[in-house]
Amino acid sequence: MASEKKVVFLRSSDGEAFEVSEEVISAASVTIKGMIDEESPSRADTAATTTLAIPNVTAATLSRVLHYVNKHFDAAAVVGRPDDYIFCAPGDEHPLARFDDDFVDVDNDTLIDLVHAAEYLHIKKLFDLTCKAVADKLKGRTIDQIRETFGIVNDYTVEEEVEVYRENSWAF
Amino acid sequence: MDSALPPPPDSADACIPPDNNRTSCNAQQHVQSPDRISSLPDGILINILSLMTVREAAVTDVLSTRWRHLWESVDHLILDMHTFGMQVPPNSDNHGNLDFSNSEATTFVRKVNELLSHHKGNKLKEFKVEFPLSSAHASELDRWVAFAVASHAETLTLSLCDEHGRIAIDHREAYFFPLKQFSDVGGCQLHVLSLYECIFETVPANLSGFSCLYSLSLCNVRVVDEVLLSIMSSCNALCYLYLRSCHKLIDLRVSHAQLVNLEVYSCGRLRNISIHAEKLESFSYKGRRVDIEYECVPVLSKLGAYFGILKHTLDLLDNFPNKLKVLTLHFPSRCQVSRILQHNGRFAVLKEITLCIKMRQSWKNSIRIVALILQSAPLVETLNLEVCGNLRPLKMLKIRWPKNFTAASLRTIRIGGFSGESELVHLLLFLLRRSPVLKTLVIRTHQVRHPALRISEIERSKDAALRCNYGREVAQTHLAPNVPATVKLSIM
Repeated sequence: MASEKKVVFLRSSDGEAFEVSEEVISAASVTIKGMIDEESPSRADTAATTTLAIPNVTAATLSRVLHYVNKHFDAAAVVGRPDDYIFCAPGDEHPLARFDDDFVDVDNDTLIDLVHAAEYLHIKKLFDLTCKAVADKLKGRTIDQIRETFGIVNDYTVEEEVEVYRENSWAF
Repeated sequence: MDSALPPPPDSADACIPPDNNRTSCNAQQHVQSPDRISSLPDGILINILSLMTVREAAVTDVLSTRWRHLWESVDHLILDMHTFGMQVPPNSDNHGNLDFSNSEATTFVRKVNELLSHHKGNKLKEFKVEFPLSSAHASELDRWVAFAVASHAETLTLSLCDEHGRIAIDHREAYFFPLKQFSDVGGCQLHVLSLYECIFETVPANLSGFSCLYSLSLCNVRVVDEVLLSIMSSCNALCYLYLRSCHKLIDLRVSHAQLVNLEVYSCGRLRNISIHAEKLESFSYKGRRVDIEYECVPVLSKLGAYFGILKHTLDLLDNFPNKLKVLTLHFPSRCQVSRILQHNGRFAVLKEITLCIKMRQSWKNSIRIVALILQSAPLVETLNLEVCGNLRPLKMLKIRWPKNFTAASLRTIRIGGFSGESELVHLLLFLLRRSPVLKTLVIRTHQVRHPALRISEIERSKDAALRCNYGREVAQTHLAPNVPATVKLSIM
């Protein structure tokens, strides 16, 4: 009914509030759409804007997530709809490929935070993108390089380690 | 390839007693743990491992106890030469088939067996085997198919050739696909089945394992008419049927209540196709001329015609029973194409047209035909061009475009495989001037495998990158400045 765009505020775990279009965030995040739907009966007759607490996501991560969401889910900003790409194989580039590459070109901790946030907020595209980025960091590296990159501590005993190698000998 | 991974450690130096790790985890509240990745829940880590080859995933087993056994739940099992770092043997026979020594096949089979003995076999999204194997390995292949059935695999691909379609020459017969394993199975979740180089023989009575199947692709599968008919009658949910090089088929009867998409390519001995499918929307055919009986196809409106001989395309167009909304054409040769236009009565309500063009040589005198086709199809909203071309220097061309031409309904133009061809640049500049309601222009440089355009030599990534870069550059410099503000241009 109202012609102006509704917005909601999302409050991060460290208390910072971010404004986002209700339509855009509902299209992106299953979790937030659920929260908005729960709220809506009570706010139908009030003009007050909704503030939703996002207790599991920090301000730094939330602002990144919203940057992604605005780029991917704002119909006005999206270049071409999915049906423009019926001939694109899954591996094809799409107009936001460059944006996506830059988006996940971050340090490991930031990336893991994004994986957590995407999972919690249930943003499938972002979850897939960030998981893929983590997988790409694991690929093509030796075990020692992976441990060093992610700070993974080898806690196997010698006997255990020999056993794990033996069991997976087909992979080496 | 194998040497890229470290050998098992033989000294204790690399190992840190488990206790150290536990203390660092407890301190997480105050000091951020350096090992954030291991704090991800199992489900997410398994999801990440599923995005790698299963071999790469299995290697993470040795990282630390946190990673132990995680790979055994990955939901994609793609088992091919690449997975195990095996090389395609350079030697092949006169037909280009692989002279696989038995030892390579044995190595592959052994590795797959070991892998499967550890994998948990829980709900698989995809199970794929691609390796030139034959009936010589029937017992193993049977067990792998049984594994896929037991793991409720949604997608099963058995491709008993290498990635280029070459088979083993061990003088053994092709593998008999064990249809019986799909009879009387409850809870089978198989949605997509793709088979290459197999034989279908007798069909068991109750093929309940195919009851959820919505996509069936058979390529070089020896299957006779009756067997295929019988299999289809068990696939109640089938929406998509793809048949390629099934040379035993002679009289193809497609009678199915749910089928939406039918593609039949290069089935060499096919003489007749009859179709009774209330929901069929799209039919594509490539191969020799066949008689096509449309018994019942009330909603069929999309046609793909990929003939080498123009007359056959025209026959197919002439016999099409309904109004054509979407047409995909392979341009067989440049000079004859204008004859398609004599059938322009067929194009009257066409909404979308896709033209597959091989542009290895100059198309200077023929590119105007694209405009002529558009002229005879006034309601077309979407024009797709799938081009298979190569790098050529940009030239100024003089092309006789049709006079008084307006593409009155054209809203979207998509070009795939753009290599900066002069002909296409000229065509696009012309269409940009004459398409008043154009909203979207998508130029994609990447080539895709289209049934009509067999990209014979697989583009090597270096060459492809060069060609794509050139195509993008041409699009940027020569097209972008001429695109009106009302048109959204994407260059990919």
